[in-house]
Amino acid sequence: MGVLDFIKFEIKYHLKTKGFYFMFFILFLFGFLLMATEFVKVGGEAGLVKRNAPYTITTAFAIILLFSAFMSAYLSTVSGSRDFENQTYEFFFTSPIKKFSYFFGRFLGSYIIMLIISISVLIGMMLGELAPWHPKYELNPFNITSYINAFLLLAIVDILFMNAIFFSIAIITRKAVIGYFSGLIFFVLYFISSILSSSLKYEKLSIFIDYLGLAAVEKTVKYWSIAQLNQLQIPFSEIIIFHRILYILLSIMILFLSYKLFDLKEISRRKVYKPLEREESILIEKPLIKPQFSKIKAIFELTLFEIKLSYKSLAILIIFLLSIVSTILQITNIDVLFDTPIYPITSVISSLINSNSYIFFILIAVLLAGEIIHRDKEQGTYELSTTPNFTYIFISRFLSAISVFIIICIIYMLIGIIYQAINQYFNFQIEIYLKRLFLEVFLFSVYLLCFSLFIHSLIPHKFLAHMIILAYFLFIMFSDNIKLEHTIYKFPFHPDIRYSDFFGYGHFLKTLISYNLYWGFLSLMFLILSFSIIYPSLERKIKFQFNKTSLTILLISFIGFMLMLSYLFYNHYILNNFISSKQEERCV
Amino acid sequence: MKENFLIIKDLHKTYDGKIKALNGINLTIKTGMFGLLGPNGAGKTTLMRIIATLLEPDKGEVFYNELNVLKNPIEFKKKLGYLPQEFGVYKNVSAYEMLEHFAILKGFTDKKERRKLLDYLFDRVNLFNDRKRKLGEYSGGMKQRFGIAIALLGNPEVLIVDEPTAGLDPGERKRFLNILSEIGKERIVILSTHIVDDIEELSDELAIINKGEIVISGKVEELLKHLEGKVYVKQVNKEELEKIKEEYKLLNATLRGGNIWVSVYSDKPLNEKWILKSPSLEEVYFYYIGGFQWEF
Repeated sequence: MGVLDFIKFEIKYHLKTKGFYFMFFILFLFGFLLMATEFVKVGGEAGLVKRNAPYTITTAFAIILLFSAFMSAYLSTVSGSRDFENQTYEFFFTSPIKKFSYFFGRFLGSYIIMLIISISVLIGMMLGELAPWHPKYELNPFNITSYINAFLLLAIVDILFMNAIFFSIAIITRKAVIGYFSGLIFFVLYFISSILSSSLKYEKLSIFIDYLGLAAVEKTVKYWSIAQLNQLQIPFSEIIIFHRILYILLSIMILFLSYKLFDLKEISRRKVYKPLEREESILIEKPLIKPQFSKIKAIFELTLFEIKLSYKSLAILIIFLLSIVSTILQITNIDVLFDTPIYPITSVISSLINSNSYIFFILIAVLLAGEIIHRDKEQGTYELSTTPNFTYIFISRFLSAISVFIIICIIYMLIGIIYQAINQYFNFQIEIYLKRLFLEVFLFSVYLLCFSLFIHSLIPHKFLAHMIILAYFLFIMFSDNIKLEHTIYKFPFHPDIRYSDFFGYGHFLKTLISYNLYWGFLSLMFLILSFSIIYPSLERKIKFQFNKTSLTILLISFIGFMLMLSYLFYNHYILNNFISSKQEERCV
Repeated sequence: MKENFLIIKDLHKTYDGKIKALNGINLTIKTGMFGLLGPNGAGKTTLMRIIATLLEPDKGEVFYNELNVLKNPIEFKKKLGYLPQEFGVYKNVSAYEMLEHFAILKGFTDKKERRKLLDYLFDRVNLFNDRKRKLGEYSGGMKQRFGIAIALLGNPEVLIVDEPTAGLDPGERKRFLNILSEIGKERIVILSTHIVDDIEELSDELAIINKGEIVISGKVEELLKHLEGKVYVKQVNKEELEKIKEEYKLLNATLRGGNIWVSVYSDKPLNEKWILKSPSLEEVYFYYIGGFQWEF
């Protein structure tokens, strides 16, 4: 069996999976909406640059490629670790195949599949462009070269680089979960690097850190006029060619290294079992104990167990560490603002911590929700849980997730305080840290956790549920374009809240509390619903099982939610006049 | 000692609207060891999971004494111990922590009392010295014994064990069967397996399940009596075997030292070339599932 056979098999395999068509469809839809509607606006469309200008197509395609990192991680991981997950590797490794054929056959197969999926974006965009409802002045004449150029410029190298990393991780660790998770790490690292390189002094560095090549494109067109942006194809400039060659070489190096590390042999992971010396022979009497159930004790002890497990989770630990690194980098960069030295006062430090922490709390909340719902199925302990108190597992897991958030908030606060102390600023104002972290970030995370629990309970496949939550956030990002600009439609966000050293939250406090109550009631509904869905049964039939308590809470939270909705609606639309950004623009 | 009953009435279960896993199962199981024997895919695990309230049947009822099991799963779970055919563990926690977790879920919230119980259970399944090890370091057999400890938590009145001896070495298997035998004196123990020897060693009563239906149930001796005087054995060659398969219901065929020994079922006495023998449980099993399938 040669490389070609493996490639063919790999392609056929993926073409038979639902995941392939799901990803193809999602990216196609995204591309289509981008061009055909006002729903999605990505790239340099604002102003006079046309919707289908080569520059717009290229930047929009790059951003979609960034989000497709999760798909790339999924596909590469399936190709790299499938045989180990399904225990079929022993058949392969005892067959007369070459390591080269196996390794590169699997890799190239997944690479080609990801390229095909990425083409779906362009097909969607092309069809969107050709939609009959566009006014003529909005668009350039259709030119397929813009799409082909974007594909050649970006997709071939970007996907090569992403797949090389994810495939290497999957095939070396031989574990799917690490492979999937690497997609997340990759995304976070990209986020951190983009923060770091956003400063003008790192402009050159940022071009090379940005693996997508978007910064190189921006550099190329930096001095172009609007007419040039509209008419000219993005050329393979010196900097773009250099950037692309650099990333091709990097990908080859990664693949070469992992090829060297990989072997068609079993690797022993389990520690060699050494029987312990037997203690003196003991004959323990059968204790005459009957269960004496104490709800509070049980929940407390189960929660402690779950917290311990959360901190043993590699995924959560790494995100947590990354968040700390990112926070430290953020706050150590604030000593100078607009060339003016500033004191590390608590309100500034806490603002920075807050703005930096949202993305990490989102990731941790979504991951924890996945763990809470899917862990027993994934680890095979589900059937062992034939216990009369299964509901306490859910409660304790939820409480442990909350405890994780609290611990992270406290660590953030300590980082801020230590930084202030190092800079000889000792007016710590702990209450400001507590207020801002807990009223804003912590509650946001709890609400998001409830929402994620609900989605994970509905969707039996963890990865798919993660994708749906991601899609929701994308929807929120672009919802302004379909007139859902108001925050009452954007769970679990609240309007921009300002904190002043003189007035504290001032009149914003009322808004903050109202929104926390509003989303709090909705979150409670999500929580009760997900709690009712995950009632143990091996078949994942969507079935709600309510008891009196859960129904009462559901009803109360629904009433509370409706009351808060009415209150906010009255305030924003009747008592006051909500102005959308377009109306605001017109007024200006 | 009060005798308890588990009554299964007309259970039906179909997967995806196509695959009929159970087709009208009726059984009454009383205190003692009860064996459920059947080939792979016969519906044993589906039946076990329904009794353990992990699956819902399409139709039918399960009662434990007066308790409707399917309508009151929480009540029944207080009396249930369950060892699934396949299960996983949290690899990065110790066996003690994990068993403690399940003990809390079973209602043992008093720490001192719980410790006594856990020590006793670890000792019982011969894992006392390994209780502080991480479960990821456990071998297959140790993991299986750990599963037994979980199933025994809370002194269950009904214990369901699904294919429990798979993966155990002969010593561990013997030890496990002894534990079951001891437990089975005072409670209902349902042992589901395709290993006839396990049932033969332990069970007072058994049921044979095939294609989702109970083909026979009763005491082991009674089932053996059904075939008494009707099982014959003979040494044959390959060509003869084909003929025999057509003429008789084949109950067993063993290749020993290049010779094939076959046992068959016959209502009528056979000629002197055949030797009449006492039926084994294995032969009873093959008789009821439609004969032994053997291809050389």
